[in-house]
Amino acid sequence: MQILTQKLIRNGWPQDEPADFIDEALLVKTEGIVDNDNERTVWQEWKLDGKVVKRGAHVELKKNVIAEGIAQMLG
Amino acid sequence: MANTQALTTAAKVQFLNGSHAFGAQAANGVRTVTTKDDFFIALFLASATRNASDTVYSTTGELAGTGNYTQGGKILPNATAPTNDGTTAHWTPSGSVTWTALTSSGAFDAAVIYNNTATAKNEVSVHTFSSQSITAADFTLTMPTNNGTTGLLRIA
Repeated sequence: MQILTQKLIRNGWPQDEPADFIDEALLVKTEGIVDNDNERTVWQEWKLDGKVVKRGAHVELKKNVIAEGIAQMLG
Repeated sequence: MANTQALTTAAKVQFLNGSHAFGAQAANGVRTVTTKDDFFIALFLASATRNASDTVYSTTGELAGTGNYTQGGKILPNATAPTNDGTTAHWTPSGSVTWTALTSSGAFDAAVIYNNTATAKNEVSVHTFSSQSITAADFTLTMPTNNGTTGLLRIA
């Protein structure tokens, strides 16, 4: 299956033309998760010859921002 | 330099002045607001300095307008009006936001929410996350559950 990647030139492409759809089998895929009080992030990365050619992420925000409402006493 | 998660101080003052309409009020509300404002979210580089002292949206430190990113960011879906959960008022965008086939101009770790209806594009809040560099792929921001504990903006 071919996937969309950063357009690049590599020896071995037909006529060494820039290619942006590359056979996924040629790529090294890495996945990771960051899960803490602030976020849950899942990322995926694909490398070709050690160079990142595609990287996506899904960030789920967990930590909100807050204003403390205060009604001061009179007197 | 770093980005710091915060509800901006200026926005707190503007809340007291009734400057932001996250939802349209009914006719028997405190005042009649028939049209809610448009709130946008924009992505900022990890090298930027966005924090509670910000007052208005600015492109300083924002991702460059390249690689399928448009400066100014995207409009936040806002189908759910502010409400309360016990004694805490809260508001959360009603859906996630995705930048499709994005190649970011650098590593970024913050999203800024601002009022795009306001002439000055007043900044409301800064939200931080782990630094991300995106290459030829989607980047999605999903919002927390909209309640008094986890809603994105809260007044307790």
